[in-house]
Amino acid sequence: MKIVACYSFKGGVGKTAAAVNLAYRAAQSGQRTLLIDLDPQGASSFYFRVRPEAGSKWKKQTLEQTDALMGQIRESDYSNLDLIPAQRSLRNLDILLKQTDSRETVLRRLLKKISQDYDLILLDCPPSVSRLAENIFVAADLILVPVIPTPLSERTYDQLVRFFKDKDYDRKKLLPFFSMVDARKQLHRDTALGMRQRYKRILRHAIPYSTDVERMGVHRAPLDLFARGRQANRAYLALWEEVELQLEGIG
Amino acid sequence: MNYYLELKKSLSLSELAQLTRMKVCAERLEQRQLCVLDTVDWSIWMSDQVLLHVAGKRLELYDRDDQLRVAVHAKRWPSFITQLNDPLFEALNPLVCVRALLPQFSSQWQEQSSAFLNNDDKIVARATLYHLVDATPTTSFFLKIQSLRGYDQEAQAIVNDLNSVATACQSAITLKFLLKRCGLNPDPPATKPAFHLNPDQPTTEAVMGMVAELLRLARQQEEGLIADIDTEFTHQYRVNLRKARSLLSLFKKALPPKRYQTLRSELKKIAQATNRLRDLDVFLLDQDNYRAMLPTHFQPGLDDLFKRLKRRRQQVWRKVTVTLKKEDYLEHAQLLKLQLKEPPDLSARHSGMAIKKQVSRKILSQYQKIQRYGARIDAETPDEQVHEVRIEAKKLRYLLELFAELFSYDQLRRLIKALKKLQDNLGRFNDYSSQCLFLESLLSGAGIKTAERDAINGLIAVLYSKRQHERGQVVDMIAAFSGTEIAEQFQELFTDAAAQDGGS
Ligand SMILES: Nc1ncnc2c1ncn2[C@@H]1O[C@H](COP(=O)(O)OP(=O)(O)O)[C@@H](O)[C@H]1O
Ligand SMILES: [Mg+2]
Repeated sequence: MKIVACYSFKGGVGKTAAAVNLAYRAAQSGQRTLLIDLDPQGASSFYFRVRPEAGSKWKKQTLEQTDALMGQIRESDYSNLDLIPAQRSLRNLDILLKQTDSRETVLRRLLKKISQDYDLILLDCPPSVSRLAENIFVAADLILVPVIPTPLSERTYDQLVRFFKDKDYDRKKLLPFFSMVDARKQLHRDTALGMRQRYKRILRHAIPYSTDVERMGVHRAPLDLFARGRQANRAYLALWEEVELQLEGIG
Repeated sequence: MNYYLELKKSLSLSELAQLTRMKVCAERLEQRQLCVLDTVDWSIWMSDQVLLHVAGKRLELYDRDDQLRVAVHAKRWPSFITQLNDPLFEALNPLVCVRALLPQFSSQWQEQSSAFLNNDDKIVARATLYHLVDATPTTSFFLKIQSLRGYDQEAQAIVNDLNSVATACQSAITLKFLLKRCGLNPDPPATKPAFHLNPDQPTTEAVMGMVAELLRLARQQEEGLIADIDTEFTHQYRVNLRKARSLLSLFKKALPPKRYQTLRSELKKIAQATNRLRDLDVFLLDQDNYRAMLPTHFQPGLDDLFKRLKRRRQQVWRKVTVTLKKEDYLEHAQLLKLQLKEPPDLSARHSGMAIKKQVSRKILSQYQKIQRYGARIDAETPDEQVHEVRIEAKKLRYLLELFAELFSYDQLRRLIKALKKLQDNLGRFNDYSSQCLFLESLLSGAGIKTAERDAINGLIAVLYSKRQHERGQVVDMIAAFSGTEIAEQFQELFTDAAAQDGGS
């Protein structure tokens, strides 16, 4: 079982759009996939028409944790794809993650326990630097980071890399990709070019800016269901294939 | 979770929506037109699988969980699975073997799949509506509801809302269930004899009853044999008769000599008619093996040989069918049946002894006989004596298997396994020997061409070397079976019962 996170310090960069479409792709390709919506905003839950949970169901007692988590699983409308919807409050999760012993590995251990049902767990993360984020950095095998090719976003990514360096997290897990790219903008083209030179690991395929992605909110479904042949959908497919290759390289 | 409901009447999707106050979306409408294929003894069905010819164009094999294991295109189904390609052949071979596939049952129904949506238009359950036109006694409607993970409460609510129009179905709605509701009621003929022995029954009575049952089972095969459905009918016919004859000869001391003699010769006469047919069947069934024994340039000769044998087999089969339909044969069989029904004559020496005691003694003495006969055999002993051991071993096998119900089967199994090992070796040795003889007899055939002659000689050479190989193992196999380990097990299992008081 592999764990992939969609993460960024910033909001509104395309984490959720990526998590939803990539999870759908993975499931379609036959992998038993679980998407966990860790953002209290519940955007990916919304796209899959699953109601967020009112209270926080994260349990403090180790034994109850797995049961409670399993109880949260909702089958999506699509084969091989399940979801754990967002919870309005992360209070209990915070308490859980702040437990004194081996604080950063709590999430990883928890996910490993429910791993037998799945080949892939995708985490849609909130844009924060918190104990949760640190747990995600440890738990994930790969961390997909959407980057809008603008100087500001580039700076944010530099900060993330520095944070990893300072805290001694595994920087090889970081897999940035360009998101919401507007190829007509000189600024986007220049920034992308510069970043590709500095960061060799940036994924080859980029996600274009597209109203189809915005319309996901109207259809409440992954792109493939209503924009199959469109560019954005094809971009997610290509991106997933690249990610899949990277995952194969991980033991 | 799955919920299975039987509906009192047909329900449209909009009625379903109304009753449950949910949105119901149609997903797929399928007209299922099925023909169940199986062997005469329902071996596929009995192993909890179902083979279907669907809509006149597909073969589909379903496993016990209703999962589609294999599907292949086929306008018609082949009578024998050897004509099928790999995934399906592999799956069916252990069940069907040389038996023919027969169209056992046909039916059709309608399957409407749909989804229940909640207020967010999220699917919470999937439903399949079955409309059985051919159901007995009347048209039936079933509904399967599967909740999506995490939405069981919603599914339960749906089931509750359907209370007024549906009742819980006693069993899961599976392929088998639906077929049964359409009237399929497989009633495979018993292949294993059921003797219902009583340990204290007098020997003659028990043996007569068993012989009668075996004769009945043999005669049950006649119809299929005459229709030439598959080779298994002839085989089973002969196996049952052979068991009957073995029983008679094993317990001849429990019968008056004259009666034994008549019964024995009657049975022999009946079985004889099929000797040649079985030889040819066995040889033809093994075609692929024979072909693999010789290099390619022998193949045309083999073609001629098999063509000739196939023709001959048809002639012999026709002769057998004529024999089986003759007054003479039917009279003999009827007479035998009556003779077996006659009240047991208790004048013979062992006739009144309790069957369990008698059988235990017989098993012990039969085992000792094999030890004794076996001890005479070394690398040079003539074939005749090796065959004697084989025949005695076969009798012991029949004793252990036919009377298994009198003992604990778990314990017998170990002995049967050991015995089987010996029998396999002796059996192969005998088969290769008789195949060599059979082929030699073909060489003298009139008008035989050189290529065919060469192929026959080639086969004889290969079979002879295989025969020698088996012969080389005979001494060790006999030694293993006669050794103290097995001997002690026989003693342990049967000594007490053999010594028991009671009977005469
Ligand atoms: N490739 C894109 N093209 C156009 N709009 C996008 C694209 N990706 C995301 N959006 C829109 O931007 C907003 C934020 O995207 P989202 O995936 O929710 O970001 P995050 O999860 O990082 O906050 C949403 O309204 C979404 O519809
Ligand atoms: Mg988001």
